[in-house]
Amino acid sequence: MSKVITTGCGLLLTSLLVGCMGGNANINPIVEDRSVSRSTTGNGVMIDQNVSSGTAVTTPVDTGQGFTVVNSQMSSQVAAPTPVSSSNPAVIALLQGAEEQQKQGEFSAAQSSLERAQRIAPRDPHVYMQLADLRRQQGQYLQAEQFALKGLTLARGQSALERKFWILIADIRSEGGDHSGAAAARDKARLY
Amino acid sequence: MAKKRGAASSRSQKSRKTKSNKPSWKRRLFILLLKVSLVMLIIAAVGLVYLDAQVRAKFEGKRWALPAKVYARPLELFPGQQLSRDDLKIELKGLGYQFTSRASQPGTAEWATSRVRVFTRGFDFPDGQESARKLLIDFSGDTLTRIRDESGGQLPLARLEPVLIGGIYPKDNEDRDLIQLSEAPPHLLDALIAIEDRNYYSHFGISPKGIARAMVANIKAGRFVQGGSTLTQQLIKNFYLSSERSLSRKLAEIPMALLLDLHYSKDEILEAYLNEVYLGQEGSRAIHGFGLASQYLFAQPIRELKLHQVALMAAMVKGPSFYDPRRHPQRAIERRNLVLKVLQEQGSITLEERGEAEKQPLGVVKQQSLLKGAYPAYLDLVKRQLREEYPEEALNSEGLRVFTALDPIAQTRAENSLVSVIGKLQQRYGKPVKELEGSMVVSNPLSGEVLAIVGGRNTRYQGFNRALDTLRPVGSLIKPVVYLAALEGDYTLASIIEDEPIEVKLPNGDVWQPQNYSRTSHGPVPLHTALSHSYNQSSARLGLEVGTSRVVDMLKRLGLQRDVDEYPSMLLGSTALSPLEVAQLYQTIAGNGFQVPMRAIRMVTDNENEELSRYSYNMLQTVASGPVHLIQYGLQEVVREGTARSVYNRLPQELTVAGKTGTTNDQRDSWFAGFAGDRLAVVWLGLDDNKPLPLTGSSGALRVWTEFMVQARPQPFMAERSDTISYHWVEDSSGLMSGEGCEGARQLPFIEGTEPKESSGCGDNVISNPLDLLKRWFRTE
Repeated sequence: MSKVITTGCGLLLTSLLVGCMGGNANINPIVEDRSVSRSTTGNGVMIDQNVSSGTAVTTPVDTGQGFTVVNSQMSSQVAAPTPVSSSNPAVIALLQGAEEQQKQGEFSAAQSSLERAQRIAPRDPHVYMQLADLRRQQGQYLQAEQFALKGLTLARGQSALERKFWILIADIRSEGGDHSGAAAARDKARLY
Repeated sequence: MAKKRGAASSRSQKSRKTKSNKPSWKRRLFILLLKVSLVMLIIAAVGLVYLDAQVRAKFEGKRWALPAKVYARPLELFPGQQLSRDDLKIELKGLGYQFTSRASQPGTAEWATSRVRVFTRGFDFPDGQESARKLLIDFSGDTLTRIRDESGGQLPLARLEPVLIGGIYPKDNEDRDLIQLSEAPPHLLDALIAIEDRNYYSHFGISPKGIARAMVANIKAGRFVQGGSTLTQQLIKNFYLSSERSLSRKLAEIPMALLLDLHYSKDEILEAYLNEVYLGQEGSRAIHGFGLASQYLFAQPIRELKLHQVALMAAMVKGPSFYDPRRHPQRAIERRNLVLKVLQEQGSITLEERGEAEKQPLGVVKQQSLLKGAYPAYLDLVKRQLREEYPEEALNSEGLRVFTALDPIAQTRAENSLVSVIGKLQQRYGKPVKELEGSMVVSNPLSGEVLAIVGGRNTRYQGFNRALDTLRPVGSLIKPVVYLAALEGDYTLASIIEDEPIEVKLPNGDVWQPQNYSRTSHGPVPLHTALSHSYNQSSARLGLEVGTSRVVDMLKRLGLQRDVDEYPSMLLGSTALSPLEVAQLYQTIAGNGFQVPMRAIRMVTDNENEELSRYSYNMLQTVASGPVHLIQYGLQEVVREGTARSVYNRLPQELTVAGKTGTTNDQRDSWFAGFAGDRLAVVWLGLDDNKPLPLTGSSGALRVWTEFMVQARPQPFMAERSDTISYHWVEDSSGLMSGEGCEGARQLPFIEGTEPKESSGCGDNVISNPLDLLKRWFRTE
């Protein structure tokens, strides 16, 4: 795990530098531009990068192997929807509600609110941050760290948020008694 | 002598005495009778005390065993949500909403071209009350755009009440939804009293007048036409006494009715009656009480019933099967109208109200459209999980509330897909697939929740659940597990492996000789191609290199609980698993190596809404995200170029999905397991007698899977880019480093440091071109 984190840290530093050029841009090597080379590659799966969310998806190409291209009418019937983000008012309402419930010590209600938020916006790193913090407060440090690490993979490219995640991980680890792990996490946080 | 005499004289004395008592035998009989009746009185008194204790104990204790209620997930509504108006309609129909021109009371909805007005019923959730309110919901295409309340204020979020999908019943199969007297709709009590027991509020438990009237009527008719039972007596019969017609039962009924009336108020007795009365039979389930009968007959809560519906329920009390509105509609409507007539005659309703109600049809829903009992396979999974934690007694009598993740919309689509594709396959292949069966598990890989389970072609069948209990060899579905173990070791997607014949001597002396599906060997092939085209010989070789123990270890880390034998043949999927187990494995792959347990239950509360147990969303990373990213790439290649590429005949190109086909020896099983962003589905097709099929994974199960995804319109799968991954151009045939635009070059992901070191000689291995980067940011699409 620590190896992953160390490597991640190095990459994230790079991302910070590259990120200056384009806001939330993903730092991974840009390997394909769909609009340019779609027709030039003749052999199958292509890689695309979702700039805002740090994800990689493959995009289709005509492989020349004779599989049918979907007509546009069919596409529109089953168009791929866009994921819900943290700017969605429903998610904001649930996260605020959960924060309030957590402050009041109503952990069960807070958990229900956060799980609702997670179902609505499963790719929103803020949801995982609050889930991790709730578990931390409940003393479930292993689960807390897992949520934080999951959130971190979704926050890639958003340096302020990544920093917050590392600080949270440091808190979780020190409360859980892992002091060297906490120090390592704090070091990571300082890189942002 | 003297002794003798003495004895004789005493004898004569005795005989004299007897003689003198003889005339008073009447008196003796009287005394005897007195004694007997005294004893009887004592017995009766004791009996009465006993009956009294019985009457009070049962009435004051827990009156009914309340089955646990199992709910589907509540539908969340929020702006930006992918939800078509048709989806919303499926949900509202499941909840028994009435579609009207004006949504004026809870449980009604009003449909327009781009907006819908829903008057919700509200629900008391464990985490808060959702009150009944009018929601004005705007749609744009298949997206919900705005929710407003009655005052026009925008709402960020609203929850519909959850569909009740079933219960866990005690042995007698009695089911009921308890109601309070105050919840009974107007006229229900009037109608009930008018038609069953006119003097209810004035008699003292029994009604001699009623009995006399009944006797006269019976004598006149020369047969039994009328019973003189009061509501109180009816309650006694159903509530306290067994249904057998014995003398002791008859004897106990009257004193018990008197005692009940003595101890409790008329309203208390009436409330008990409302919940006890037997009103019908649905299979083995006995429908008791008006609360449940309202759902059973009209799929609506009792508060929402109209006069004609209330009158029908009151009409049915006399004979629930004789007046069954589904089987004997004519009888039912005549008696309903009789109830309405009596109500009007006694002044409870006006003539207009009566006329209006008489014009109404019976309005009974088809039994099939009731969602209760509609999801036996899902409920089966829920019950199994509950029984691990709760004793049967608690489940069938404590009135627990069980909140599950079942998504009725996904379930409907899964059922439709499986049933319709099996139908098409039967048309095409005829007799060999006449008995074709199938099962399906649908989950959300982002939350780990099981959304739908189909246990067989007959989706309402309560018996054998193929999604959980059919253990069949998984065939090539195992390959991603084998390849993942390899990629965790020294292999990359570009590694060249040999697809050549192979023989393995087994400990029992047999020789294992795997064949390719095409019966030809492909020679040296890149690892990713061997996976996407599902070559058996290269996969077996790879697996033997990696070792069965590491493959078994990978199975465990992906979430398999079952112990697996380490035979070489397991490398090609001889291991038998259930569709649910397969779903868990693929869910961990979809989740980037974070294992999220498959959950059907969210929470269990007691009948006061207090949380008893919760099945939390938890995760544990058990496989590093790097190798998982590589296998995700491989599974996307399967659907873009490999054995499952037919999916894009139907799915739009931009909908990224990933998955794997599986076919077992002699084509006995047809499998497909795969996922989009927020939907994962595993489909199995096969015959219960395990005979061969004319189907492969792609010509069978994949078609069901594709049909489901077309209907479900999921989000595209987006692989999260791990820090440790970078993409490189390599020459596919040699696995050497290459460059963009080079002959035979292909871009593949690598765990950093594992990319090929040698170059093919073409290209400069451009990792990142700043100009491309700029081009991307400024592109205008």
